[in-house]
Amino acid sequence: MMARVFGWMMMAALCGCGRTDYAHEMAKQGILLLGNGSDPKALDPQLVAAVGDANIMRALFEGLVAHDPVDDNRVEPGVAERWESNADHTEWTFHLRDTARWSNGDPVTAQDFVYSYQRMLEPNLASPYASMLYFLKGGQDYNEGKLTDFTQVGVKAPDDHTLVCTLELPAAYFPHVVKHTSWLPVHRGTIEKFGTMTDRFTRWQRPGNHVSNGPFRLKSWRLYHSVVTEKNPLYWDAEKVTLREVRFFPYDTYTEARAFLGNRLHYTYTLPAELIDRGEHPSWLRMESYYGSYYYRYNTDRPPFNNPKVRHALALAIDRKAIVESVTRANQEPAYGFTPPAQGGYVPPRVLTFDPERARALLAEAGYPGGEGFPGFALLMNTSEAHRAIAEAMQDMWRRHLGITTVRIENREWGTFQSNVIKQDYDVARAGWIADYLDPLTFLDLWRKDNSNNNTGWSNPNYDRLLAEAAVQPTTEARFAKLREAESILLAELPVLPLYWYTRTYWLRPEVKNWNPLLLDHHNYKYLRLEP
Amino acid sequence: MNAEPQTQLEAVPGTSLGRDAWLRLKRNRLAFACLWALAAMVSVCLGGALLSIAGVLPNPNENHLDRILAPPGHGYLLGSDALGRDIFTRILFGGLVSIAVGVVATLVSTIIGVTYGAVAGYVGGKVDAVMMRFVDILYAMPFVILVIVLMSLFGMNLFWLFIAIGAVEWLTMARIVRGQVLSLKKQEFIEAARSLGLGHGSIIFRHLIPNCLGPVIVYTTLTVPSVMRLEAVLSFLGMGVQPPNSSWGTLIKEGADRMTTSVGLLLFPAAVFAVTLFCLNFLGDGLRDALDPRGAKD
Amino acid sequence: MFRFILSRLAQSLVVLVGILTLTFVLLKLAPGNPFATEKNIPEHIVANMRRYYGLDRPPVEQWARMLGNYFLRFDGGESFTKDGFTVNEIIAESLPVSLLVGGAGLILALGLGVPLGVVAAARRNQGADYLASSIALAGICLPTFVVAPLSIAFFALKLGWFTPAGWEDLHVDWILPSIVLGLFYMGYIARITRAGMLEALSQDYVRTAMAKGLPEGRILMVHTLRHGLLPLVSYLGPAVAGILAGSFVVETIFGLPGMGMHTVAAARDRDLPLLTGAVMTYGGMVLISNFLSDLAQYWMNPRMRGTGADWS
Repeated sequence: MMARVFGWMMMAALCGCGRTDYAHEMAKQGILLLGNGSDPKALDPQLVAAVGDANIMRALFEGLVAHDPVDDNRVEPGVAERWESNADHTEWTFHLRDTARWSNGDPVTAQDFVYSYQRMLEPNLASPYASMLYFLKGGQDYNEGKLTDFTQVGVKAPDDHTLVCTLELPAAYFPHVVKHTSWLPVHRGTIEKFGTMTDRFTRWQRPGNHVSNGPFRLKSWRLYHSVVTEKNPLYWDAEKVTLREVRFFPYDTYTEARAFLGNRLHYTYTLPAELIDRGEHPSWLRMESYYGSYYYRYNTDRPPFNNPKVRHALALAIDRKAIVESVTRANQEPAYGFTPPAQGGYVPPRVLTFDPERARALLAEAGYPGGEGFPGFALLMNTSEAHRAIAEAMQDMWRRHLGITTVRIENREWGTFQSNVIKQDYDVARAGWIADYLDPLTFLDLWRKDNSNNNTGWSNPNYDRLLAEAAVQPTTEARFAKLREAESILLAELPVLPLYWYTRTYWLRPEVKNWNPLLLDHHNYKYLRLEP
Repeated sequence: MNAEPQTQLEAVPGTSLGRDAWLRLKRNRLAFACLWALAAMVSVCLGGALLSIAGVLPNPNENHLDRILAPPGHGYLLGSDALGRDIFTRILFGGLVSIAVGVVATLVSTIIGVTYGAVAGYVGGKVDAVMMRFVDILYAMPFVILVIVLMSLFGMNLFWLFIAIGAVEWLTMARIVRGQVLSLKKQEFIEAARSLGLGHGSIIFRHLIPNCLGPVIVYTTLTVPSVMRLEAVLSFLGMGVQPPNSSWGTLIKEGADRMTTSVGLLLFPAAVFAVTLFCLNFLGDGLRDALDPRGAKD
Repeated sequence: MFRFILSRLAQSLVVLVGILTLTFVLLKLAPGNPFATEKNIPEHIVANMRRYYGLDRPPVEQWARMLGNYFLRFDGGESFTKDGFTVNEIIAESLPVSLLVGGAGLILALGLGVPLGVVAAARRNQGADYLASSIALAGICLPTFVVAPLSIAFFALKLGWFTPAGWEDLHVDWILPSIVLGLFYMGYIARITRAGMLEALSQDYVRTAMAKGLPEGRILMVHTLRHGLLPLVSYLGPAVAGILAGSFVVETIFGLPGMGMHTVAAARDRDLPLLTGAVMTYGGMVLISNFLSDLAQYWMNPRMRGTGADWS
């Protein structure tokens, strides 16, 4: 074996640089190599919650409505060929195509969707994203165990190819909502072959057992190595799928960058700030708007953060532009509100600026002139170089502009960090929210009083009222107006410290075609092509 | 015949074990040079820190977002890092932290290890067996896990870093001391002490432990680099020294990540770190030779 | 001999139980729970998950159940964080990777380290000694997470000899990581060998042999090697387990699906079954290699035989 290795090395050395372009070779074979950030937690659409996992789900499964390859503001027929709603958008009817198939040949029926949604809402399954299905009438009650008869929940299959969803509140944007991973169907027969509906980790997810209805099916899954999916020949639109395989790799940020530079990947999940300027191949670099908000939460139950003046002072003393230009350097937009603005859509009120004068004045009014006597507090974040750089910049800005020298930066493992935030055991904690669907409500809903993602101790009855009123407005403009009013309240009281709105920065090789910038980054793999 | 003595006997200065060892160490030129190098390193770090506090050198924790990743020059001796901080001063301050971690954590582990080992060896019997089983158990666990859990338990600050690292490094010291005590306690001077009615504590701390000092000192100098390396690995995991403070470990980690854009960020702290470990190891060797004359023949 | 093996087995059992218990206690005390994800999970759902994994039972019962599973059925249970995978599966899949890389690294470390140490001892305080010792020290003083990206940048990215990350081609992808991993151990092995050989060479019987005119090579190889390598064999006991169990640093930087990754991730994510499995595997390897090391010392050093020496 050693001889063979030696021979290989000699050959490699003799081939000049010895660099075979692995990625190019793979492209020739129609195999797409994607960096995916981390190993998936599960390959079961009802059990995943992370962005990377959702990417894999989108390759394996298809929902009622599919992702448009060019614009996340548009929708495309998926398993449903068409749909319509009643006048006030509380009832939606989806008409399923009869050519849709599971990867084992079974037809995809409306009952599959009913089963899947019930499974999602079953309390015993403990799905992390069950709350997405609270749009359905009775969904929340069923999930919380207050309702035990699923036939009372607002989803019905009058026949094999018709699905009727009755909503709790009007939602004209409902087709956008059902694009989300949590609305994907699962194959009942497979699930029940390996366990009951609510068994959490059965072997149905394994290669060989896995059945899905999307453009690809599962070929292999090796922890810390890769998830390999291959073209699903039984997919109803299989002739449009040109890729042979899509492989997802869980490398961490710097390893991924090296892998890309060494021609092992076609796409990186992310890109560290300092590599952005590395100019080898400028055509590789993509920087696109991403519908998400990077911010910090204040624990408004803990002094001095129970004082809105303090919260404002700290927020106004941060030079967001400098952070975005010098620290993160990925063309992010400094935030002037909380919800990211969407082109031609919702734009938040312009409130936040960098105003150190006013910040100092507010701090003095709050009783800490020049930062004197300001109690020590911790800036909590989950372990990450990127977050640390930003936190250090903020720490320094508060020292310089407000005279506050008592800030500690504490990083915690993700699990501990989440735990602290959920228990509201923090002073100021880092947060990020990527939209689940393309509507400002996904951002503003966070701060409703009983939203389990709030975790700041802040609530405002007027805010909640305005959100509820927005739901029943007749037009989108009226709805957005109410939402803006609500956001004004949020920005006046500032239980959060918005920093910037995300961009997605990554490297993509030129062989990958039809990969368009998308606000939610929900690429429809069926349309991707590799042209070496 | 002359009644006076012909010559005066010259007074010969008395010598002790310690002085003997010191002389032997001096003769080992490389080890001695390393001792001086280490002393110089500590002084430079201290001096640099004082200069920085006095304002002559830049503040290592102050960000200058307009001057990131600058090459050497313009008041930055070795250039600036990704947040515009002066690399040179950060290395100096970081050195203080790393050396402090090295020294204090080693001290903690030495105190724990020596006491534990001496007690186990002295008491013997079942108690010794149980104590050593516990050491076996800890020995059979991956260190990094212990430190991760300990630090998430208690906090990510410098104090607990000392304790956590110390708590993990004392094992071999305990075994060494126990071995020494086991053989020492059969010797006559211990019997004598016992027959004189000295209490156990007295015997352990004033008679047994001082006689183990040789191997303990040697092993201590070998523990310091081991501790510093552990701190560097913890920084790789993000669990070491917390920002804005730096240690060589965190500086090396930052540098390794940004290696492709600014190689100085990695090379300077890595070089200083390597040289320090180098000197510590050579010094340890020299100490071993100096304290153990048998091995120093020829 | 038989009595020795038996007593070692009993000791090992105690240590294994101790490891399991210690891991259990530490993880129970540590803050954080394994069920956190990017998005929040409502309280009642977390309660469900806890009930599913038996985490709502009293701790002593959980501990006892784990003990029973491990020692009676060799079953590590199901991972909390890797849904659908049992601990046994995860270890079976990842351990071979670490073993391959670690094994190759160990062979390299021994193959380079022992000769370096012997040469250094034979040519003590001369040029060759300084050179050999410096090489050894270089291995010790350079952190792995410096050498690894540097070697990737040069050998993988610049020269293109190896892949910069991943575990695709089993014939080749282990080479660079094992070299990087082995460098540190090579340094340590060289130093210990040097120290041991120096001790051996200073023995009286060596002087006798030299006085008798035996060639140096023979003295080294035949007479002193066995004695001089004793401390090395003793060091190798725990060290072998360390190198074979996988280095988190090397595996992260090279993107290898080994056990080191799982071990650290399990500690961070509070995945009790997986962490216990990893720790037990590591502990088992330590015990086995200690045992082998003690056996080797016994065989190599006649003075230890027949004395009923206390070995613990």
